Amino acid sequence: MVDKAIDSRPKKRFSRGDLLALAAVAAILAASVVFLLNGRKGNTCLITANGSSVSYSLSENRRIDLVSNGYSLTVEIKDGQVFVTESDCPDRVCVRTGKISKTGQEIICVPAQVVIEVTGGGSGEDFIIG
Amino acid sequence: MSSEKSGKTMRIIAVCALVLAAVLLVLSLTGVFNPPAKYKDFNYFAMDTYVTFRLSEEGKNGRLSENYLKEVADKCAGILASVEYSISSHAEKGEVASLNSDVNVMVGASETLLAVLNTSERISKLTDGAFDYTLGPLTELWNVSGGGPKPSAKDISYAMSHTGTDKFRIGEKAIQKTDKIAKVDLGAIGKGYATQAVLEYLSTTDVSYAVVSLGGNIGIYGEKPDGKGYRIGLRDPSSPDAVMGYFEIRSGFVSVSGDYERFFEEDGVRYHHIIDPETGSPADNGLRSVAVLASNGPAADALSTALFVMGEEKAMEFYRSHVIDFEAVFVTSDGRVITTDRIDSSVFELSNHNYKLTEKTKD
Repeated sequence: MVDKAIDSRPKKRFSRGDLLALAAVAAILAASVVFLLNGRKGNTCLITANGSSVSYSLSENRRIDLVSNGYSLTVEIKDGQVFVTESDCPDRVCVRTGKISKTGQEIICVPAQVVIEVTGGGSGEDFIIG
Repeated sequence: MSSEKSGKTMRIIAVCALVLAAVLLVLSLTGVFNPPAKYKDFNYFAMDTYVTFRLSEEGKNGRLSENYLKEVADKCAGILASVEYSISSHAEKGEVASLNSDVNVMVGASETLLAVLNTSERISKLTDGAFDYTLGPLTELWNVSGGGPKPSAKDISYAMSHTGTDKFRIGEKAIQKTDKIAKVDLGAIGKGYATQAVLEYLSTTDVSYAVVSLGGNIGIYGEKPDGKGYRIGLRDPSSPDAVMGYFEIRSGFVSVSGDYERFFEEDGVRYHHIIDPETGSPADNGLRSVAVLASNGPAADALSTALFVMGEEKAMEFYRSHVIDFEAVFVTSDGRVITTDRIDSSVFELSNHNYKLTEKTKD
């Protein structure tokens, strides 16, 4: 009885449009999973100071002391995150920005003219030797 | 009617299955199903270099506490300190300082010093002197870490007259010197030895897998749960901030020696720290760096120096003589990368294509 009532509703065939929509859903789902997993952690960070840039792996903990535009900064990479631990710049915005680890995030120190940016890559190494 | 209905149901199921399959594929590709390797990194300054102990949080009998890992890491650092005391030329009150002082005999040397000297002696013989642990007078003279200056030819030949393995006799407890001025320099083998000593200690702990990175030396302990190797970037000699290629390594030791690590420049000439025992001057044969893969830590370290001194051709000859088991990657100053026979693209992958991977020639 119930079946019959449902069956008697007017309905279209499962059209090409539906398939496309479902395919799109599938694609979006897949893309979002990839995005979620990849976007969670950037692999490297690019530190630009005094006009030159150096890339460091976020999987290798290290401390980087740098002098730029007359100010001294200490940058630390720890457990996949990068942050400025110390700076003698006047506003210390860089220190207060805290820890960044996701692709696209930035720490900018205007007085020292230092930009630290988490970049994706995908070729992140565990260690560097040599 | 009912066949149309079941057809539709089938289609919905098919599409759902497709979506599920896509999601599963993505998840498996991103490695979600493999238990990820979890580590804690501990960093120290030791043996004149930056040291990382990367220890698994996973233990042989369950998860390890941070306190336990810290304890293990501190013990690892302790091992480095004691190795440093025994074999470093820079340790002022260390054993090498005593051995290198104006004496004929050193009695009561530590097991560590004797072990390193014995291994050094063996590798020195096997490499026909390309690895030489008696270069102390030359490394002091060149003072590369201190910025030179370039010594005179006369000073070099004087220093060379006091080098050579014939100046030392290594006994079971005592070390005899036939030349009071002779000095050992274990810098080309010490870190490899220390790396291995740390791995040996780790095998007695609850840590399941670990990596030790010690200034140009990497040692791998245990197996990661995801079954993958470690991705190790090889520094580009021409721009040491960049990586030129990647190793994928599951076990053993990797050591690299390069002319860009320590050097000073004078009159536009670069004088690096890898001294050729035959000339008494920095090796100058067209090689810029050598990476060695071996199952033994001190051998990997010493060979990276020995092969650098030998140069490309002799080094490949040495490899094919099978005197010691190892694999190597050579980087030349004219931009070529040469690998030994068993290194294929699954072990080393060139990423900077300004370099050319040279085809292997087998004889």
